[in-house]
Amino acid sequence: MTPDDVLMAFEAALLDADRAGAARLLRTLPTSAGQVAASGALLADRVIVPALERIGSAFERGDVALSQVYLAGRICEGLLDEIAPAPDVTATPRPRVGVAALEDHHLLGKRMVLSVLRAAGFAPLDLGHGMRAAELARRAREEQLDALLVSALMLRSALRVKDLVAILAKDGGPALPVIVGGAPFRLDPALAGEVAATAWGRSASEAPRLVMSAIESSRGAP
Amino acid sequence: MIGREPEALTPAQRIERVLGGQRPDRFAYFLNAGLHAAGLLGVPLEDLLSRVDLAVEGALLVQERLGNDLVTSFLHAAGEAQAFGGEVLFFDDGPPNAGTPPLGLASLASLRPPPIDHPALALRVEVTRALAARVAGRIPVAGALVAPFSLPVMQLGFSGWLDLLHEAPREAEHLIAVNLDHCIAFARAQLAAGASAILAFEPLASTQLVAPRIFHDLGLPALRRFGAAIGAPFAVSTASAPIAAVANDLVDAGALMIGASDQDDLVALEAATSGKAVILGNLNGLRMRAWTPGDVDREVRALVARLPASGRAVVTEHHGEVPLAVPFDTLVHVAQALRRHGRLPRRADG
Ligand code: B12
Repeated sequence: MTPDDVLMAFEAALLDADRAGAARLLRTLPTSAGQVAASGALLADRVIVPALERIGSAFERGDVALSQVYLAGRICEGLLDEIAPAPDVTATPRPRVGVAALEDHHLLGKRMVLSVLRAAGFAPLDLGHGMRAAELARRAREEQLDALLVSALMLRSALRVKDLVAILAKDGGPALPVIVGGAPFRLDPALAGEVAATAWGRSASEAPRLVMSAIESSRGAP
Repeated sequence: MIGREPEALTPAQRIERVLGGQRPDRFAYFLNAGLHAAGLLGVPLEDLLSRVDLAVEGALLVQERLGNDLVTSFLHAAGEAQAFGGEVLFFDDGPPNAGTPPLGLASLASLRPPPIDHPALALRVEVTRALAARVAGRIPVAGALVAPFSLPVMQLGFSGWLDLLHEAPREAEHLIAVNLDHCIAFARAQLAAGASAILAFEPLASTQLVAPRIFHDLGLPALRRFGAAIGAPFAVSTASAPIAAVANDLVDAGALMIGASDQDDLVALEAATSGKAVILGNLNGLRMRAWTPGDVDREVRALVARLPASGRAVVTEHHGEVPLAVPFDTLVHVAQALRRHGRLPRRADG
């Protein structure tokens, strides 16, 4: 199997919620693709993240269901520990990120973002739910996050991101990207701009890429 | 007061035509501004949504201001989770939400449907009764409920429900069976109190949310039994998630009305259901927040052009309820534009 074949087969196993099959494929990688699997982070970067991203794009096109995106993320979050449990010294260190549901009690979106980030080799902090903007801003600073991800399902919660961004802009801390997602953002693509979010995603699978590019551009900014 | 303007048909006559397959005088519409009623009455949202008298006054006031062709006794979905032991969290600037999910795997085996006189259910039945008494014969009352396959999202949490479906399909099936009994009893109580149709919210029927095979195996049979048991017209809404891919199955299962998302192509939807279903939809309330009067006019014209020429449609927000953040004046403009541009038969130039 070429690495591409493995990727396709891995994606198919995830869409079928076939955890054992997905794990078996990852284990075949060291032999079929040389050193690729030597590092957990490389495994994440070359196989897990691309597979989840492809599943995310298929969700955006309407070709796979949210239930499949959820199960794929859930399967992947455990795989990395199982297959490459050793701490990684060679890989680039992952940024410090936190995920929260701001004044919202709907937790699947947050759960999915956490799964995808874990599967991608991040160690995201679960900042919980139901918090107000000021409290979440304070927690994000305490934890010295490099990026904050917020999931919202209700419009009133999504609109609170505006307060969050305003507080973070005024508290004297370093620029902190705020990345958002959730049904209201998907249904009204103007909303993310309205609340001054740094970036938004249609699918949880986009989270790792959005984090990396938001941090890159905030470091690049004067 | 748009609702007091004289017209050829009363709302009840118009809806009867729409459901019966005859062309009405204009497109029927139902801009459900249930939450806005609190502001119109000057009462806190929690009171409006907890008291029969306020809920009824609010629904009637909105109907009068917007000239809606329906009124509903729906208050909030979280009440149905409350009937199973959940809590309701109220806010003053948006709809209430269900709190921590009340059920778990361990509680399923002994689970029974809640009694129909549970306060959360009785409230909705009493609102139905009081509304029906006030509008008798003039405006149809739509009852509502969360359907058997989607209710578990509030009972177990969304991830809890997806996990159960994949890991314990027999328990999942049992929960759907309990929910089906509950839905039948709740629908019958609303119908007996004077509702003329039931809006069933089944967003997990959408292929956007759950893989189609699972809904076909578990959700669809329950809906079919639901329809057969209640013996009244019912709608299936996927709460703004795309419905086209399952619409024909839903019609086949007995749904007379199908709630379309703004992501659904209405012309294709009509074709997919061979014109057999009444289409509800498909204004996107979240986007309506920013509409100017000019936008309203343009959007309403575009919508009317997409709707079936037969008039077999009821214009609604695609999720069912207009978000509170949409100014009430915008809704007044939408209602006026619908009356202006929605006359039937439709002129060739739209
Ligand atoms: C299923 C559904 C229901 C079900 C279950 C709800 C639940 N989860 O508890 C039922 C029928 C019970 C229901 C009820 C209600 N609902 Co509802 N519902 C939906 C629906 C169809 C899907 C919601 C859902 O849970 N999706 C699952 C989550 C995980 O999806 P998601 O947030 O989109 O996440 C994806 C992406 O957005 C992304 N993502 C999510 N977070 C993040 C974060 C980051 C950083 C990134 C990058 C990506 C990302 O990843 C996911 C995919 O990979 C939506 C409309 C829609 N088309 O999506 C309305 C919707 C959420 N409902 C809405 C409302 C208002 C309600 C009610 C309040 C109605 C009422 N008056 O009672 C109640 C509240 C119920 C409750 N729980 O308390 C509104 C909310 C917006 C608003 N108007 O305020 C929506 C958006 C409908 C609409 N068009 O307006 N609902």
